Amino acid sequence: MKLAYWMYAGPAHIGVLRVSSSFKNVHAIMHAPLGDDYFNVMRSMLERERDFTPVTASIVDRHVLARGSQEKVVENITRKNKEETPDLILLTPTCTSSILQEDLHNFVESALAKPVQIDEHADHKVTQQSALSSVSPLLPLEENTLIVSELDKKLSPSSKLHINMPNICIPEGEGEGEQTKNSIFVKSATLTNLSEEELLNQEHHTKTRNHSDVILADVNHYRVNELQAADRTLEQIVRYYISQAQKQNCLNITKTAKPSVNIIGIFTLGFHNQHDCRELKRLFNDLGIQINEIIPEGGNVHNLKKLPQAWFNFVPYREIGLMTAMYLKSEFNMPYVAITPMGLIDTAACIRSICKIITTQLLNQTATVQEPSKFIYPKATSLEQTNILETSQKETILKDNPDSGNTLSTTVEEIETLFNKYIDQQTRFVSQAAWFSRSIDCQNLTGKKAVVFGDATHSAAMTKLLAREMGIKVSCAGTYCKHDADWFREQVSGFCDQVLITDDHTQVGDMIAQLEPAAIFGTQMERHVGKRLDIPCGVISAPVHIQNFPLGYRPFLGYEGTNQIADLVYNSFNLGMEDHLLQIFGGHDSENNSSIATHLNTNNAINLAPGYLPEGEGSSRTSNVVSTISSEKKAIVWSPEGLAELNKVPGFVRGKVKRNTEKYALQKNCSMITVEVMYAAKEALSA
Amino acid sequence: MKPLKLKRLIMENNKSHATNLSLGGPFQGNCMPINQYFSKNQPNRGSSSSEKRSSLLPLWESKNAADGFSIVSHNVLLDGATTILNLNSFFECETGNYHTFCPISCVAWLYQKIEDSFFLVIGTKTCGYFLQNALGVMIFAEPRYAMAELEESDISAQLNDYKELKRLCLQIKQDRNPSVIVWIGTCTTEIIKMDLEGMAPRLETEIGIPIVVARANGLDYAFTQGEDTVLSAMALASLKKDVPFLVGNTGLTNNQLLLEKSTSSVNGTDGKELLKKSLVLFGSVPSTVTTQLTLELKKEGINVSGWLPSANYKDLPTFNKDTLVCGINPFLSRTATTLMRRSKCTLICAPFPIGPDGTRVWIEKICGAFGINPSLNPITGNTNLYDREQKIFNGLEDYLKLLRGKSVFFMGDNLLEISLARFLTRCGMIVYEIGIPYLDKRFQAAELALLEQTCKEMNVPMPRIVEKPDNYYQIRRIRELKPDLTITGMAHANPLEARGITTKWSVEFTFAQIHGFTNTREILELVTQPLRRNLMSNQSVNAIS
Repeated sequence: MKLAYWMYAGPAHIGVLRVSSSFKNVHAIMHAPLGDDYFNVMRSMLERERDFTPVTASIVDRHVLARGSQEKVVENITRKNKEETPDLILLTPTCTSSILQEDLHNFVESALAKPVQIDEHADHKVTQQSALSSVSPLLPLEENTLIVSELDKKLSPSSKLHINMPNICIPEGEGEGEQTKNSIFVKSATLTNLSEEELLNQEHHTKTRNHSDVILADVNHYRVNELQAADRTLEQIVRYYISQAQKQNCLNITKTAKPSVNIIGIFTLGFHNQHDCRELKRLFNDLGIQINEIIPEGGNVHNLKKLPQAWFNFVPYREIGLMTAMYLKSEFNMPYVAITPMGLIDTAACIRSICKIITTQLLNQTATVQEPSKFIYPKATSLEQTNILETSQKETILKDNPDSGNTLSTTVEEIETLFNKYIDQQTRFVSQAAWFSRSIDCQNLTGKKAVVFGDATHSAAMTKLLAREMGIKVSCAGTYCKHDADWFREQVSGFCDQVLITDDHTQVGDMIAQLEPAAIFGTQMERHVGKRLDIPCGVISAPVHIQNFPLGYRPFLGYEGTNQIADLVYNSFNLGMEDHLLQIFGGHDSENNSSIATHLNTNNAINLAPGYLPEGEGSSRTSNVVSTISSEKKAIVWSPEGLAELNKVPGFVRGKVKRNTEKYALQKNCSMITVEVMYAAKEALSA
Repeated sequence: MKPLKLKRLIMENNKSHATNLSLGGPFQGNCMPINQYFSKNQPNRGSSSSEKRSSLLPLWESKNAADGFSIVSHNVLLDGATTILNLNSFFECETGNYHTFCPISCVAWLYQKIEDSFFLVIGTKTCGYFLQNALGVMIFAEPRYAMAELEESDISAQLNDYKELKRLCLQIKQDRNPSVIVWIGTCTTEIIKMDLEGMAPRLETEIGIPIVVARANGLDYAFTQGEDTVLSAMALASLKKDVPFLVGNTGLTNNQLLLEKSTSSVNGTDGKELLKKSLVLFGSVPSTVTTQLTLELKKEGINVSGWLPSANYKDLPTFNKDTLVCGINPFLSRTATTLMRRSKCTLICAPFPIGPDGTRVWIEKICGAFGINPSLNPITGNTNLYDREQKIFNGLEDYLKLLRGKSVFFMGDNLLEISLARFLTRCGMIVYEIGIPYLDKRFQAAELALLEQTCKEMNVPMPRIVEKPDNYYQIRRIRELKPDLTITGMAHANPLEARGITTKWSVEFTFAQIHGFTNTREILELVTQPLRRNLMSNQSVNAIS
C-alpha cells in the first residue's frame, strides 16, 4: 500500500482508451464498475470534444459480480456493434475489474461467435449462390483468424444481411431494430440486383458495416501506467491489422513514389498534441515529404495496413509510439526517427537524421530499381517549391542539378545541402528563438537557476534547450517516467547538476524547496508547488490540464514551437526591470488586498468589545478601501455570531456582503447585526 | 428471449436493496402525451411487475390508514401513499448503461465539511486518478485526504492489510493528527473482500484515533450516495461512542416511522411528550446553509439540537429513541434506515428543502412532528411560511419569465433530480423525463407526492421517472423531444451543446448552495444561465449577420 496524494501518470485503462478514442470509428467497451468511466468526462471537458466519447462502460455491479459478466459484456459488444457500427471494438477492464480475473478473451470470442453461428445456418442458402462464394479470392488465407469470422467472407453481402440482422437485433432495441432492419432490407434488395462484380467490390465495405473486429486490450493494469499501456495498445492494434492484411494477402509494402512518413503518437488528451501535429505537418511539407498516415489521432484502422508504404516512421514523443515504430522496424525494416524536434538544436538534429534516412533509402532503392531520377525528381521539385523564399540564386542551382542528370552521390549531396539550407533558413529567419537567445532580454536569464520536471520527452528536451540555447543553469532535471530512466539520464548528462527520477510529487516538491530555483518548468503539480513557494512555473509536460488545450496555436515542436517555448521561458521568469522594481518597492498589488483584510480584522476587534468605538482609527483604515461604508457615520454593531457568520463568507465577496448588510440594517434601524439580520438582508436584496 | 431479458433486468434491480424493485410497467390508459410518445419508442419495458410493486408498500399504507394525522400531513401523506400506486406507471428502469461519478467523490466535499477529519480512500490508481482529474480536487496543496493505493502485492495478499493500513494511519496521525480517520472502501476492497470493518476497531484502539468505515463503492452506489454511506457509518459510530450496548434486533419496526399526531392533541399529554423530543438534521451542506435552515426552524419555535455531519467530528450528535431525524438531501436513504433501525430514531418523512415550495413543506412536516402549528400572519391570515414562499416566488419574476412553458430533461446524475424537477415544475417548466441513478421510493415518498401534487396544480403532465437510465436511449429521446434545457453529467454536456441542445451540468447542483428559502435564487441562477446565454448569443449573432 502506498500513501498517495497525486499521481503523474494515470492508470493503464486511460492509456488504452486514449488510443481507442483517438482512432476514428473505434468503440471501446470498459468492463468496469460505475464511475470508472470518467475518461469520458476528461475527454469531453478537456478537449472540448463535440462528439460523444466512443466509450461505453459495461457496468459491473453487485449482481454482475454474483453471476459473472459474460452475458452483459457480450450483450454490450453486440449492441454497440449494431448501434455504432464501429470498425473495431476494443474491450478493456480497469484496475478494479481486472482483479476479477474473468476470461475476457473468451468473452471476445463469444461475441464474435454470434455472427459465426448465424452464418453456419446460412450456409446452405449460400450454396445456392455458390457462384458468388467461389469467386472470392481471399478464401484460402482466412483460416484461423479469430478476428472476423471466415464464413462471413464466403457469403455474399446480400444473403449475409438477410440472415444476420434479425439475430443481431436484440429484443432490447425493438424500436430501433425495426428501423435498421427495414433500411438494411431495402439495401440488400438493391444489392441483389447488382452484378457479381459489384457485389464483390462492396463486400469489404458491407463487412465492415456489419461486423466489427473485436480485440481485448492486453495490458497488466497493475504493472504499467497510462503511457506504457497506450504505447502497447497502439502496437497491438497496428500488429493486429497488419497481420490481418498479411493473412488476407492484401498487404502492400511498395514504398510511395515520393518520400513519405508516418507520424506515430498523436493522441487525444496529449500535451499540445494537436498543435504539434499541425507544426509537424508543416515541417514535412516544407521538406517535401508526404504524410502517409498519422496515427492514432483521426486515423482509420483499415488504413493501418498502408503503414509499411511510408519511407520511414516518425515518433515525436518517445512515451507513446516507440513500440509501434520498433515493431514496424523489425517486421518491415522501416527506419524511424525518434528525436523530438523541440528547441533549435534538436529540431536541426531531427531534420538531419530525416535527411540521412531519405538519402539512404534513395541509395537502397536505386541499387535495386536503377531508376534514380524517378525518385529524385519529385523530391527536388517539392523542395524547390518550399524554398521559394530563398534567394533566387539557390533556386537556379536547384533547378539545374536534376536536369543535368547528375550521378546519384551528387544528388544525395544536393539533398543534404537543401536540408541544411532549410535548417539555416528557418533557424535564422523564421524562428525568432535564435535571435531571442542573443538578445539583451535573454542575457538577463543567463545563469538563473531552474528545475525541470516532466515526462521523459519534454523534460529532457527542455533541459537541453534551457542549458544550450538560453544559458540557464538547470539545477535539477527529472522525470516521472521511471521505466525510461536510463535514456533520460544519458540525454541530460552534462546539462544539469542532478537528476531526479521519481513518481512521488512530494520528493519533487522538496527538491524545489531545497534548491529555490528562479523558475520551474514542470507539470501542473510543480505549478502548484511553485505557487506555494512563490516561484514562477512554466508548464511543459503532461498530465494535462484544461490550460493545455488553448484555443490559439501553441505548438511545442518545430520552429514555431521554439518561439512558443522562448515566450514561455521568458514570461516564467520575473522580467528584467520588474525584478528590480519588485525588490525595491516590495510589490504594490498585494497591499490593497491585505488592507481590506486588516480593515475587517480591526472592525472585528472593535465590535467584539461593544461600546468602544474609536472613530478616528476606523475611518483612517477604511479610507484605504475603495468604498467607505456607513459604519463610521452611524455605529452599527455586529454581534459575535453575526461576525462569525460573516467570516464564513468567501473572502472575495465578504466586503460586499458586509456593506449590503450594513446598508440594510441602517434602513431597518437595526442597531445590532445578528445572523438573522444578515440573512434577512440577503433575502431582501435578492427578492 | 424476452422473458430471459426481463429476468435479467429484475435481477439487476435487486442490486443492493431488495425493496427497490422498480421495473417500469406499461403506461396506463390515461397517459400523458409524453408517455404515449415513449410507449412507442421505449424498447426496454417490462410488463408484469405491478403485482410485485404493490407488495412493497404495505408499510406505508397500513400505517397511514390506521393512525390519525394532522390535516396537512394527513393529506400529503395519504397522497403520498396513493400516488406511489398511481405513480408506478411513470417509473421505469433501463439498462443502467449511464455515466455518473464514482461515489468516492463525496470525499471532495465531506473533507471540507468535517474540518477535523482525514479521509483515506483505499483503492487503486483508477480511484486516485479519478479524484485528481474528474473533480480536480486533489491538486489543492494540503488536502485532508489521501489514497491508500493498492498495489499488486496487496491484491495478491502478499502483504498484510492490517499492517499496511496501520503504517499509513500512523503516518497520517503523525502528519495531521485528525480527530477521525474515515476509511473509504472502494470497489477493489469489495472485490478482494478486505475486512475493513473488522480491522478498524482493532486499529483505532491501537492508534488512538476513531476510524469510521464507509463502503462508498461503485458496485452498489452512485455519485452522491457516497455521502450516504459515510453519514450512515457516522451514525453507527455515534451509537458506538455513547451507548455501550449492541443493538440486537436490526429489523425495521414500523412504529418507528413517524406517526404524526393530529393537531388537536397538541394541548394534551401527547404534545408535552413531543416537546421533549430533540431534532437532528442529516445531510452535508456548508455551514452557512445549516445556519439558515436552523434559523428557519427557530422562527417556528423548533430548536435543532444537532447536525449529521457536524463541522467537527467531536460534535457528532447522539441519537436515541427520543430523537426525531429529518434528511435534507434526497440521496440519504441508507442513513435514514440506519438511524431508524440502529439508533431507534424516528424519521420525519418530508420533501427536501430545495426550492421555497419544498422548504415550506419540509418545515411544515417538522412542525407537524413536534405538534406545532406553523405560525400565522395576523394580516393575511395565512401561515408565515406560506407568505414567505409567495414572497420569494414573487421576487423571482425575472427568472420565472425565462422559464415558464420551457421544457427540461434530467439525464440523471446526482439523485437531486426529483426535488429539482418538482421545483422547476412549480416555476412553470414542463419536465419531460427524470433520469435518476437510484430511487428509494420510501425515503422519497413525500417528495414524489409533492411532485405529483405540483404537476396537478400546475396542470402539466407528470414526468416519467427512469431509474438506472441508458444514456444512448436517452440521447435519442432528447433528439426527438428537443427539450429547451437538458440537465446532464459532464461527459455529455459538450456533445449535446454541439448538437444544439442547451445543457446545464448536474454536478453544479451538487456543489452549489441550493437548500432553504434563502438560496432559491442560486438554483434559478444556474438553471437560467444557459437560457440567458442563448438569448445573448442570439442577439450577437443577429448583430454579426
